[in-house]
This record gives sequence, C-alpha cells and structure tokens, in this order.
Amino acid sequence: MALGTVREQLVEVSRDYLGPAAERFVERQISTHLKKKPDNLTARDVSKLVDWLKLSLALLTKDIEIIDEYTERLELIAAGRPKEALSGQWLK
Amino acid sequence: MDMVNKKTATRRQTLSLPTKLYILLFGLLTVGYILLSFLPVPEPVTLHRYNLSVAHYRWLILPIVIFLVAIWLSGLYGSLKVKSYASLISRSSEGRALNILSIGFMVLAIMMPVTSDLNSLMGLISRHSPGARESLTIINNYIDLVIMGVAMWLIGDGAIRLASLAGNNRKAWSEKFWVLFFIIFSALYGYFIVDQPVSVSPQGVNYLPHWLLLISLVIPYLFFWYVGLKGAAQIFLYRRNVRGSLYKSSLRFLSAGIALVIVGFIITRILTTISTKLSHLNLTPVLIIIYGLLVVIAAGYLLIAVGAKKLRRLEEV
Repeated sequence: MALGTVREQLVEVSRDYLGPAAERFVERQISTHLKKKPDNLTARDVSKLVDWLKLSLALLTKDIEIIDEYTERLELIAAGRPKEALSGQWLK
Repeated sequence: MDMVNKKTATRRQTLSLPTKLYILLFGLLTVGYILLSFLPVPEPVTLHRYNLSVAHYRWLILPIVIFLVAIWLSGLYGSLKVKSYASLISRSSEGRALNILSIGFMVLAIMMPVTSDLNSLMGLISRHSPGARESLTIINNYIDLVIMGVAMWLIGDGAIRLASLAGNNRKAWSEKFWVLFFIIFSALYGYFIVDQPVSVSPQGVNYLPHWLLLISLVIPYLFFWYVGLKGAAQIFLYRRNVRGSLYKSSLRFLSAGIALVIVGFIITRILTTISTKLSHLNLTPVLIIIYGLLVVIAAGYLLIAVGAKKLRRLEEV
C-alpha cells in the first residue's frame, strides 16, 4: 500500500471521520494555525499539526471514543508508524 | 480552548446578487399573497352563507395566512442554508453537486408562494370575468408543472452527481422493486385523474380532454416525481456509501429533510389534482391532511437547514 506523504496520511485518517471534508479540514489547520501553505509542511511541523487536528476535531464532536481513536491514529503517524494508523483495524 | 475558539473564524459569506434577488422575489410574492388575501372584498355569497361580516372573515383567514407564510419562510430558510453551505465548498465536487441540489430546493420553496398568488389572482379575476376561469386554470396548471419540473430535475441531477462521488452500490432487486412500485402508482394516479365524477364538466376540472390531460400534465408530472423520488433515494445512498462518521452523522439531517420535502410536495400535489375524487369526503379530514403535509414540508426544510448547519461546521473549525 502506497502511504504517501505525511500530509496525505493525515488526510486519509481524517477521511474516516470527516469524509469529503477531510482534506479541506487538514489544509485549513495548516494554513490557519501553522500559517503555511499545505504543500510547505515539513517534518518539524507534524507534531504541532497533530495537536491542532486533535483539538479541532474535539470541537466537532463530544464522542470521546472518536476523539481518542483519532488522537491515537494521528500520534502513530507523528511517531512514524503510518501503517498501523491506516490499517483496517480502526474501521468499526 | 479559548484561543482556538477565538481563532475559529466563522466565515461570514455575503449573499450573491442572484440570492438577494431571489429573497426579494420571495418577499414580494409573500407580501403579494397577504395583500390578495386581505384587500379584496370577500364574495357576498360566502359572507351570507356563513353569516360573517367582512371583518370577521378577515380575522378567520388571518391564522391561515400566518400559517402558510410561516411554512414558506421555513422553505426559504432551509433552501438558503443549504445554498450557503454549497457555496462554501463550491470548488469541490460535492460542492458543485450540492449547489445544483440547493437551487432545486430554492425553486421548490418559491413554488409555494407562486402557486398561492396565482390561485388568489385567478379567483379574483374569475369573480369579475367568469369566462376566464377555464383559461386561467389551464395556465395555472402548466405553470405549476413547469416550476415543479425544473425543481425536481435539478434535485435529481444534483443527487445523482452527489451519489456518484461515493459509488453507487444499489442492489438490482431494489431497482426492480422501485420500478414496479412506480408503474403501479402511475397506473392508479392516471385512473384517478381521468375518472371524474359525472357532475363535473365532461372535461373535468382541469378543462382539458382526457388524452391531452394525460399527455401534457399527468405523464410529465409522473416523470418529474420519479426524478425527484429517485433523487431522494440517491441522497440516501450517498449517505450510506460515503466515508466519514461525523460527516455521515451531519448528512443524516440533510437526507431526512430532503426526503420529507420531496415526498410532502408530491403527495400534496397528488391530493390537489385528484380533489374531485375526494369531494365526496368530508372536507375537514382532507384539509387536515393537506395542512399536515405542509407542516411535513416545513419540517423537512428545517431539517435541511439543521443538516446544512452541521455540515458547515465541519468546514469552519
């Protein structure tokens, strides 16, 4: 499975929760909070971006399970373990 | 969290010129209906039959007018909310599909005041020129058909575009069942339309020969209703097949609202077109059903507004 860039991995994980809005969601966090264009995302930005993604998703739902699952998957990507984050084990 | 909330900008969109013109037109039609309801002097025959004064008559129709205007405003609100959401994501594939869908609902929403205004005008003109009733009824029927046709076509087109984005996993047996249902429904509807009571004119209250009625009104209506209902089914399919648990949860309100609006409009139209078939029934339950359907339509538009608002939230955080 081609895993793509970190940004693409984050978008792919976000799609399981936000569907078609996922890419716009991730890009909005990059441009609004990191003040960068999405294509200019670097490895150093990832952990900060992950924090903003978790925070922003928490504003969209009160479901703790979803928030915790999303958080866990994002942290796997930040830790350089995208295969686990993108595996089918998360789909209920 | 406060910093996030402060930074979370609710993007306020200014209304486009076409939308402003639409709202203006809607407002004019609504005011027009109110004026047509209260300004003309009621027919003396009506007042005498129910032993009413002009003032009493106007007080009686006031709650009905308020009720109808409230229904229309819910349609305006719901259709504008979904249009606003579609505009927010206009550059995306689903945004383009939702834009077409939302225009369909705006057309359907404005159909309500247009129909009421035309009916009121027709009544007013017919009082002074009874011979004009036949032509006006025919014109009115075709205007209704065109507006509903445009609305259902747009809704169906938008819905198909949306559903195709998530893949269409419709089962073959459900398609066949759907077609069979519509064939039966079409046959029954056609029968009820042409089977008019003997006391009515030979051409029925539509003032058209049966063959012309069937070809120019019944068949087009059935086609547009099929397109509209299929559109509602496509939205449901889109919701079922699309990814994203939070997205699907927000979409639930939109899809439920869409189904209620489409079904509500269709059933209301069916009841009004077979009204002579129902004339032997007590008027009260028929009116209750029709007003109940208007409430269903309003509820549908409000659900559409709630769904659009929830979806919009996903684009703002």
